[in-house]
Amino acid sequence: MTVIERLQDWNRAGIVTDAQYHALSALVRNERFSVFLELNALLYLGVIAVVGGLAWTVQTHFTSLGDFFILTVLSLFLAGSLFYCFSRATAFSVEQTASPNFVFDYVLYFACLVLSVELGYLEFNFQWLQEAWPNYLLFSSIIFFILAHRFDNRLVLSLALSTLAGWCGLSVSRFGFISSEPVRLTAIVYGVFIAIMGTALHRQGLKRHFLETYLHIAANVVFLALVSGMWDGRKVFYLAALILLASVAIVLGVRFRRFAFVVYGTVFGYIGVSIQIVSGIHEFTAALAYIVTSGLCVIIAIAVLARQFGRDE
Amino acid sequence: MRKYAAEDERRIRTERLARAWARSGLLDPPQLERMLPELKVGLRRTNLFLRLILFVFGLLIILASVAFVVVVSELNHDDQIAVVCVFAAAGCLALAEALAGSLRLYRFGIEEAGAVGAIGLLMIAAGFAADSFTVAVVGAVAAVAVYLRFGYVYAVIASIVCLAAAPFQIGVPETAARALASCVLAVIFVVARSMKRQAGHDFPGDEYSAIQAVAWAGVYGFLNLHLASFANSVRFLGLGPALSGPAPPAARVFYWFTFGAIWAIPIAGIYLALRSRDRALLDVNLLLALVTLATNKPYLGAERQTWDPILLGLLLIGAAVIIRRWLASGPARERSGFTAERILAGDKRALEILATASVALDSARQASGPAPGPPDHFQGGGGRSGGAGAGGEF
Repeated sequence: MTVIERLQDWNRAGIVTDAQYHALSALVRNERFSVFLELNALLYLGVIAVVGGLAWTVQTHFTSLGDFFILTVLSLFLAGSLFYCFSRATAFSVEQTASPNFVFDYVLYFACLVLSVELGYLEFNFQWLQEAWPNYLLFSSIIFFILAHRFDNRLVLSLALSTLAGWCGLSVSRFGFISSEPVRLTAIVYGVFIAIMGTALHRQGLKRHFLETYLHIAANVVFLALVSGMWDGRKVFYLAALILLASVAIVLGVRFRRFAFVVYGTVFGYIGVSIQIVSGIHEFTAALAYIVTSGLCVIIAIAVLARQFGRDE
Repeated sequence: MRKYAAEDERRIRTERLARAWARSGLLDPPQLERMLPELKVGLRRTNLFLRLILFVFGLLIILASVAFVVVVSELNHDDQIAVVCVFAAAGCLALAEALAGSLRLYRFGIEEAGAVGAIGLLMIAAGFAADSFTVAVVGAVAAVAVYLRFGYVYAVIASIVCLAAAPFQIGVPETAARALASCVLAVIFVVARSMKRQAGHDFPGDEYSAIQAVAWAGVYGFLNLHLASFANSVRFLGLGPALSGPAPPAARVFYWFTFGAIWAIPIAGIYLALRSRDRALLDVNLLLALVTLATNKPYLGAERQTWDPILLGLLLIGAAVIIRRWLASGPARERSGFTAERILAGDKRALEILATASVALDSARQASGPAPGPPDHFQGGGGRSGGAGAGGEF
């Protein structure tokens, strides 16, 4: 029985109204066809391309264009975009709010990217902060966090988180550490910090829907840092932390039906434990036997879980 | 031939649609509850994430098991390893059959690992026993067989890739191989499109829709001579030669033919997609149109300018805004059934995922440093701020 035939049955049985039947059958037959996603994708790619081109043009032609022209153009773009956002925005709400119009989110994203280009250019030319120049990143990320929460923009939130990560990474690496240990610890601190921040904002009721973005990024960063620690001298510490975090991710992922975290916990946990075990095995056949046995254990555990939760997303 | 009954497949798709409608407010929860009992199937399913884990670990076990047998048995001859792989492939298929049959698993991950493992093992066996052309043909046949049996669309896509790679293994000149591969894919497109028209929007029309979109993209991929990334991906699979960029003088006619084709294909594709309201084909052709715009200058031998991305970006933004306004100004905010409004909640969720995933793009830009361009003193573009350069090199 096709979808249309089934809809007809439901309509005859009174499960769906006539209006619903016509609306849904139009969707099934593609008589009503939304290009919402495609238009959003075009806007996103357009903004990325424009800002990329701006940065490339400034980088290549800064001598011929001159400081005044470059800064004026970038400032005009920034001011215009921000003016547009503040003038069109709806009143602030701690809850999730819809964008006032189709282009709004992308204008704000454009403004943030232009701000990055402009700050980079300012520091290059005037070097006001000198050795402390990575603090521009910290400044940018704070601005982005504020704008993301004010305008309920997940694109800008992601930009804020990646900019903050850039600041953390740069602040450590510019001290010239040879070992990757400080970078790893910084990544862990960064991940824990944004997880706590996201949870705290969620508990305060401020843009609660952002929590998943915070947690996804935090989980990936911390897991990657811990797995990279498997080659470090203090690998027992990292292994213990990895097992603990993987267990937490799996348990909480199952509890709150967020199965992406079950994937993180299983995959990263397995990789970390396997590195530790396989590095102690000197025979190739034993290593293969380990993979088969451990893989089977994982499959049995996940199959049990999968049967319990069925199609829950 | 199919392991799963067509009626079950239709019920599963209808259930998915009904849930999507309910999430989007087009149905009330009580209405959904009344519909669901009718849509029950006796198949065990799981969510995407657990399915992914089961698939990856299933494949890992299969490969490790075969390697274990080969190493323990101390098999050194290619023929012996090929025989082991063939037997292992048969075992994997039997496992997939059993899991899908007696345990009634459907898109559960583990039975998919068995079927996909069988394809991979048969290709490995062909690699040990024969030449690369045979590998491509065996891969194509095995993958299409898995599709016909289990209905995995990604298997038929793998089959298309293998089939398209085969002409590059028979020693003909590159232009001939490209032309041959494009012809093969064009035939697949025509067949899939005709089957899709017969099937309509219901199952298995959705599968044919994906197949025709991939075949169409493949035709374009082989005809665009400046699509280095596509060529690299073929080489990565070990199935294709190192494809060069511009064609040699002897092939100038072919070169300009392909230049015409890379413009004609997306335009024709968008027209066909809009006429048949086929989302997969529409999305693929929008992407191809972007690639055409990006590879136009290399084709003409023109120098890239730093403002090219700005013009491209303005074109995209302008097109999106104009189309949106035009659609919104129509009666009931739509024209000929096309609307820029969001209908399903899934679209919003997709945008949220894109926004979260954009952090990876920002991080990649940080890692790759400044925007492309000649090295200079100022490297602010692209930068470490995740956006465009507050943390560039100074």
